[in-house]
Amino acid sequence: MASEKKVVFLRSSDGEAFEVSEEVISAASVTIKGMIDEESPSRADTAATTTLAIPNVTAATLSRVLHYVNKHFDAAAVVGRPDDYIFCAPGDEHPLARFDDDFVDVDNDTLIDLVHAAEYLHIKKLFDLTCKAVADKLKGRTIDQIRETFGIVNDYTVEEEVEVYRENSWAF
Amino acid sequence: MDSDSEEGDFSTYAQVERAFNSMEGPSAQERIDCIVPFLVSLLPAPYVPALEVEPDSDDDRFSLTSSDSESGASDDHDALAFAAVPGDGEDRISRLPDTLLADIIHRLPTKDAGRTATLSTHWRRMWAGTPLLVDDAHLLGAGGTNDVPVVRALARCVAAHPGPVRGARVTRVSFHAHEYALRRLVADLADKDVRDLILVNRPWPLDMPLPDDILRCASLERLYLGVWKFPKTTAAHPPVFPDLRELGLFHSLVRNEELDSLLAHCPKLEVLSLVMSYHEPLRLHLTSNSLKIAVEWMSSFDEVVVEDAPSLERLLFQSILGRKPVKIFRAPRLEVLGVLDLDLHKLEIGGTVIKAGLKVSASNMVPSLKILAVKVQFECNREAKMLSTLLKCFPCLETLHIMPTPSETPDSIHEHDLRFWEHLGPCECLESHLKTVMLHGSLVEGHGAGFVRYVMREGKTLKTIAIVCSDEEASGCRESAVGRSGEITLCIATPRWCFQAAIDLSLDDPFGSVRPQA
Repeated sequence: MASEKKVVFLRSSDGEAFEVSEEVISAASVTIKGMIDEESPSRADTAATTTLAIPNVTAATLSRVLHYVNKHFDAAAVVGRPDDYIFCAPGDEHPLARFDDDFVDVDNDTLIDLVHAAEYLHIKKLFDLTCKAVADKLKGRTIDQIRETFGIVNDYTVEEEVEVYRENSWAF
Repeated sequence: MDSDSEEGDFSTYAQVERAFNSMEGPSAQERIDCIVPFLVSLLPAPYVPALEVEPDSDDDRFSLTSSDSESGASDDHDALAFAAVPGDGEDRISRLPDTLLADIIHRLPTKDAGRTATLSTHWRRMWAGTPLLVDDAHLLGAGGTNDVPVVRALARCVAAHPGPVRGARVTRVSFHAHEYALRRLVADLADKDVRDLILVNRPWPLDMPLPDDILRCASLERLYLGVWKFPKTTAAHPPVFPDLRELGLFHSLVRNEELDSLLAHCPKLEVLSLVMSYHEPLRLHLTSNSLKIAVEWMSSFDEVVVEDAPSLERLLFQSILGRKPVKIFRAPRLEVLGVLDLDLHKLEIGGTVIKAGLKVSASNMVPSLKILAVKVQFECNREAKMLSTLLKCFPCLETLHIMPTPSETPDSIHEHDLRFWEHLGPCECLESHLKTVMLHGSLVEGHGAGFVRYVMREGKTLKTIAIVCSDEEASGCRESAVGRSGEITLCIATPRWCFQAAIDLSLDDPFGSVRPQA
């Protein structure tokens, strides 16, 4: 039924290609829409499928990004899958709130890869989601907990540390 | 000091206080205690939601203690969960590009954001290099609303940051007894080029003067002030707001000269709102080349006058108390008007009072108007007739919102009252432009219903009649009827009218919207 639906392939930095609907990825990613628009005159009457190189994103991250994109930007998928609604808690703002929560419930490295990818691909909703998730990991924790969580090395001298604590004492 | 004040005319909060205390019921203190949360609820949303909505708010208290590692980590299960999934020890977050890290810092509550500076030298540079966003709701300590630490934290936060200040939202502090901190704060905000400022004083005693330095905040793009006595704008202290686009004055005493001076010194001002203003300014008098939206919300002006507002697109009211004239002289781009209360507002266009039955001429028309919301008592003969005259003033009206209200003094039901709409002829907007009528509330049979029959009978371009209803269950209701224009859709519309909708230029219609067909 979807035989006429155009697809594009995205090749990750480590060489893996992923298929995605052109319409869906164009709606999601400003960057890829730009690439497709640039390509389109040359492929107007060829049946060949386009493959776009995404040099900054690994296969592991790209497959996650596409999972998100298909969930959020494929209108047919969103409407056609009532199960998403069933698992919605009554207070959830939108049917995908639960999906989003699970999506960013990942380790720090994966999350930061997603921030980079969302920024590079210019997917505003995903960028907001992932930045907020990073912020949530910084929120309400002590400095030592944050350092431990993210592997941040305290490179202050004793004098500097005293000074910075004094300067920002209002925050403690 | 206030013996020369006229009754009902407030130029100081002392008068407001006395007036409140002279009323029956709650004391002035109690009234103000109710009003402030109401005012705050109308303000633009915070940059980052306040902490109290967090389900695991135990973390807050926990985080307020020192950063020493022994400070209770053992009973924080979340911290353990995080410790269990560290990366490979490589610090990748610090290596995020500065713009990304700044973005993340901006998504943190003020206190958490400030604390990141102590993580490492890199984060300290990041903190200093990221424009400051500060919200005093995030600074409330374990002491709750105990103002001293909040005021101090607020003042020190702004003082310690090198700037610029991108935004400051101050709604939790009573500045009484903290005048020095207030003066320092406003001076620092001015020096640090604050762009977005929401400054509400939790009053008592009232009459708190706003420091003159507010007039120096030349980088402001949005300014909301609540419960202040506005400083006098003398030649020595002219307001300088070259970039201000949005101004809201909430429950503030601003003299007419000050408001005129403000409007004259804000060349880019697009949205002006006056909420619960107390007879100062006595007149809302609008002359501005840039103003697009003017909102009067529950204020008690003696009159509202649009003198010369070539860019004004929306003139909006949520009026209470007292009949007052609304005079429109020059507003060539006015598209949205309402809620015009036929009981409270005496409309005047081009120098002529619009009275029921007036022979409307071109000079009394506003041909640019597309959307009108009217509060009308259909049982009242005068108001019904006024409505029919009003329609003649707006020949290009496309959407009409009817907000029927029951009359306290309905006219006795003579037959000719009921037949008024039956014999009424067409008018220009019904002939050529009116497409949608939205009904906010039920129509008393025989009165409002006559009006609906009238627009169906005479509306040659009428497409939709919608009942405004917030019930989601009803959204599927859709029927059709036949009128002069052929088939008319009868459906449900979503209510929208609230302060935020009034100041939102991106909404096509601030009063309501017809639900799209499912």
